[in-house]
Amino acid sequence: MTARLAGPRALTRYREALTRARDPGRRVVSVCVGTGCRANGAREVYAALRAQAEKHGVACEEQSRATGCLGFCQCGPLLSVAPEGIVYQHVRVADVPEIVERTLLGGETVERLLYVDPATGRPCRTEEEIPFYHRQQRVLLRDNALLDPTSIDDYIALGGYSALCRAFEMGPVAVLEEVKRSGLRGRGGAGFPTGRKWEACRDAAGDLRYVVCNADEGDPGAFMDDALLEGDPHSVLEGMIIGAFAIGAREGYVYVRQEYPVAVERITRAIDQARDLGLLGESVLGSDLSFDVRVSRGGGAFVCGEASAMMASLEGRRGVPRRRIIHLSERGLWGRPTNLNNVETWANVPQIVLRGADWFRSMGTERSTGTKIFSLVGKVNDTGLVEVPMGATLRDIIFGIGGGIPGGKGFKAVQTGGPSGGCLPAEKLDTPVDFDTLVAEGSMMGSGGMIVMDEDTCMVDVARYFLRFLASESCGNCTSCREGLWRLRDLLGDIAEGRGTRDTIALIEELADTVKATSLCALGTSAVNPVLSTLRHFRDEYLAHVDDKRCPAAVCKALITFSIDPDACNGCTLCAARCPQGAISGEKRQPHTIAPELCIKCGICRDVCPRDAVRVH
Amino acid sequence: MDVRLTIDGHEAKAPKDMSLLDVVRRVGGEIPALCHHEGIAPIAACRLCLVEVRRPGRGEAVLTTSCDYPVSEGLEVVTASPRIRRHRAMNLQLLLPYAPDAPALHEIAESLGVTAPLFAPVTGAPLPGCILCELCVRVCAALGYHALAAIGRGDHKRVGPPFGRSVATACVGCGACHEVCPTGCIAMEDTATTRRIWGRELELFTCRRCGKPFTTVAHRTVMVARGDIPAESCDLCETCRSRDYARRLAPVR
Repeated sequence: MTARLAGPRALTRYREALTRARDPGRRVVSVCVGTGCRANGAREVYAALRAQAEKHGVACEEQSRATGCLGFCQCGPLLSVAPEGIVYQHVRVADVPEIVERTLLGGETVERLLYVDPATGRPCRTEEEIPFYHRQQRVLLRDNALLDPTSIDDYIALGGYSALCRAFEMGPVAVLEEVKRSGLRGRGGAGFPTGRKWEACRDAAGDLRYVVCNADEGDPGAFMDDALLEGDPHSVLEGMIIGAFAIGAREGYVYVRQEYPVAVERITRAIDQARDLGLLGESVLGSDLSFDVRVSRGGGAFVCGEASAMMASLEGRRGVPRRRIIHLSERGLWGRPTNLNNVETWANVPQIVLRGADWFRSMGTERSTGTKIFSLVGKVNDTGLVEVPMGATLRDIIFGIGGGIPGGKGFKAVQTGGPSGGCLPAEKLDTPVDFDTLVAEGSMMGSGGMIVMDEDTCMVDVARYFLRFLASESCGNCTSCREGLWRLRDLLGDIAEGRGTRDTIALIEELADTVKATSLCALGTSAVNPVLSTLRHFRDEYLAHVDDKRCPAAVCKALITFSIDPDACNGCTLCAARCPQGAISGEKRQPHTIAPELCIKCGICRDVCPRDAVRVH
Repeated sequence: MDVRLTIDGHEAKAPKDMSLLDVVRRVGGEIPALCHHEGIAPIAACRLCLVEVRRPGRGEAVLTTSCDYPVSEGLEVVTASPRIRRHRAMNLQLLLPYAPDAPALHEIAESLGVTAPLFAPVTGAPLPGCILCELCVRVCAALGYHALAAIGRGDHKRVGPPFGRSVATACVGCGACHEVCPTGCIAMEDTATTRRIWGRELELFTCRRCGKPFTTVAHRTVMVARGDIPAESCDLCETCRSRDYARRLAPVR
C-alpha cells in the first residue's frame, strides 16, 4: 500500500516519479477486453500474449496491458501497439506468436491483421487511418486505449487527478460556475443542465449531502456507461470527487447494475486505490474536503435508472418511482440533498475543469455542448462505441462512422434513445443529434443507444419487441403503464399475426395516448414512443399488415409464405437436407418445392440456398 | 396554514400540502379512486383520480393524479373535463378484466359512462380479483406487520407474502387487508376456532366476557404488547369493550 498523498504537490511528485520510470518510447501491446472483444475471446488472446512475451523474456508488466473498450467492437478482438499506434483486428490466439515476434520485438507491422478500408481497399495501419475512428472526436474514450483500468498509476501518469488539483485551486464556487458555463447537460437522457442541478443541491438546506452516480444502464444494446466504468473508472470517480467538492457533499454512491460484474469490480477497485492514495476519505489530498464513495449494486430492474426509484433502491426499498414534490436536490437519498448524475456526465467533469468551459463549448451545438458517446448497433457495418460532437447528423454517425448498411441493403430506420426512443426514417437522416432536435422529431437522446435497421426490418415487429421489453420492465405501479403496455404489446401481436384491423390501430392509438398522459414516471410516459413513432413514420406498413395481411419486410411469420423459384433452383438439395421439418422435397438437380402445411418459416432454406432461389412473400 | 384554491370554479380552503383528492372529497366533490386511503401515504397506482390543475402563473392546465398532489395557494382544479373522463375510462377499462364483478369498479364505470368492457376478463391471475392497488400491502405495513409485499414487476407484478412464499409468516390475522381491499379479493375465513388468511391458520381469541371469537390470539398478543389500549380491553370484543368503556366513564363532578 502506498502512503496517502499529502497534497497536490505530493501528487505531482508521485506522477513525475511514475513518468520517469516509464520510457515513452517503449513498445506496449494493449488488448481490448471490453464487452464485445471479451465475447470474441480477447481474454484468451491476452493470456496468450503474456505467455508468449514471457517466453521471449519481455517484461510483461510493462509491455502488455488489458484495456477497456476501444470502441470498434465489430472488428474485435482488437489489439493496439504503442507508440506506433498500430491497430490489429480480429486477433486470434494463433496470431499472437507472430505479433510478439514481429511487432513487439521487431517493430514490424503484420499486414494481414490490419483493417482494410472497404472504400479504398487500402489497409489501415493506425487508428487515424481507420474511417471509423478518424471521423470521431474521442474525448472521454480516448484514454481507454492508453491505460490499464485496474491501475491508478496508469491514470495518474496520464495526468489523472490533476483536474481535482485544479479544482482545489479554483475553489468550489468557481468550479461550479465553470461547469454551469460549459453548458454540460445530463447524459443519462433527460438533458438537464448539470451546473444548475449542482447549484440547487449546493444551495439546499441541510448539512449532509450526497452525490450519486447513475450506472444503472439498462437499455438493450447500450454499453456506453459500462465501457467508461470498465475502461476508465478513475475518470468517473474524479468527476464525482470534483462534484462533491463543488456541492459540499461528504458521501457518494455509485449505483451500478449487478449484471456488469466487471464494471462493479473496476469501480470498486478504483475507489479502494483512490482511498489508499488519499484521494478519498478524510481530508482529500490534504484539503478540507472529506468525501468517500460506496458502490451499491442494482438488481437489474430497468426502472431503477429512474431517479426516485433509484433512491428507493439505494435505501434498500423496492425500486418504484414516486412523485417528486420536492426535487431530489433538496430532498433525495434519506431525505437529504442529493445530486444524481449519469456515468458519462461525471466523466466529462474532469475534462471541463482541466480544459475550461470555453473548450467544452467549442464542441457540439449552442444548446447541446460537448461530445456524446453512442452505442451504434444493429444493421450497420461497423458496430461499436462512437463518440462525436453533439449535433453530428444521424447520417454522419451511421454512414460516415458506421460505414452504412451491410450487404448493400437499404437503410430503413434508426432508433435512438433506448427502448423508449422513437424510430426515425431515412428522411430524418440529416437530423442533428442533440437533445432538443431529437425530442422535436418524436424520439429522444436517451443515454445514447442507436439501433440501425435495414429494409428487412418490420416496424410492427420492432415496436412489438420494445413493448415486450417495457411491459416486463414497468415497475407495475401505475395501471396505465403496467396494464397498458402489455395490452399494446398484444395488440401489436394481433397485427403481426394477421388478426389486426384498422380498429386495432385506432385502439392502439387511444390506449397509447392514455399511457403517455397518465403514467407517473418517464418509463411509462415514453414507453409508447416506439409504437407512436413507427405509426407516424411507417403507417403504410401497419396498413399493409391489417388491410392486405401482408408484411412488406417479410418478417411476420403469420403473414408470409416461403417458396422456391423453379427457375433459380438447381436442385442442389441443400435446403431439403437442412429443413428441420422435412418440408422440402424434390429430385436431385430438379427444382425443389416447399410444402406450406409443414413449413414453420424458420428461414434456414433461404439462408443456406447458394442461388438465392427461396422467395418470401 | 390554510391555502385557498378553486375546485371546478368554487372557492375552497384547505391545509397546505393536504392531498388534493382528500380536499375535493371533503368539500363534497367526487373523484373516483381505488387505491386511496386517507390514513396511508398515496402511491397513485390506479390512475383514476385524475384531475387538471393549474398553478398560478404556470400556463396550461396539466393532467395529474390528485391523491398524491399536495394543494397549494391559488391552485385551480378541474375534476371532470372530457380529457379527464376519457383517460379515467381507459384506465378503468384496463382494470375491469381483473375484477369484472366488483361493485366498486361497476360504480365507477357507471359514473364514467363505461358500458361495455374493451377487454375480455383475465383468467389465471395469481390472486383473482386483485387490481394491484397495494392497499393490503400498505395497510399491513402501516399497522407494523409487513406481512405482505408487492412482488415482481411489469406484467408479472403481484401482491402476497414476501418473496413469493405461499404463507405470510408475519401475518397475525388482524384482517385489515381484507377490510381495505376494494374488490374483496382477499379471502379470510373464520371457523369456530380458527381464522384462515394468507396461507395461515390462526387460532381465534374469544371475548373474555361474552365468549364470542373476535380476533386471533396472535393479534391480541400484539395488541397487549403494544400497550396502545389497556391490556384488559384487549380481551374484550368490540361490543363488550364499548360497554366496558361506558361503564367506566368517570362520574361528572
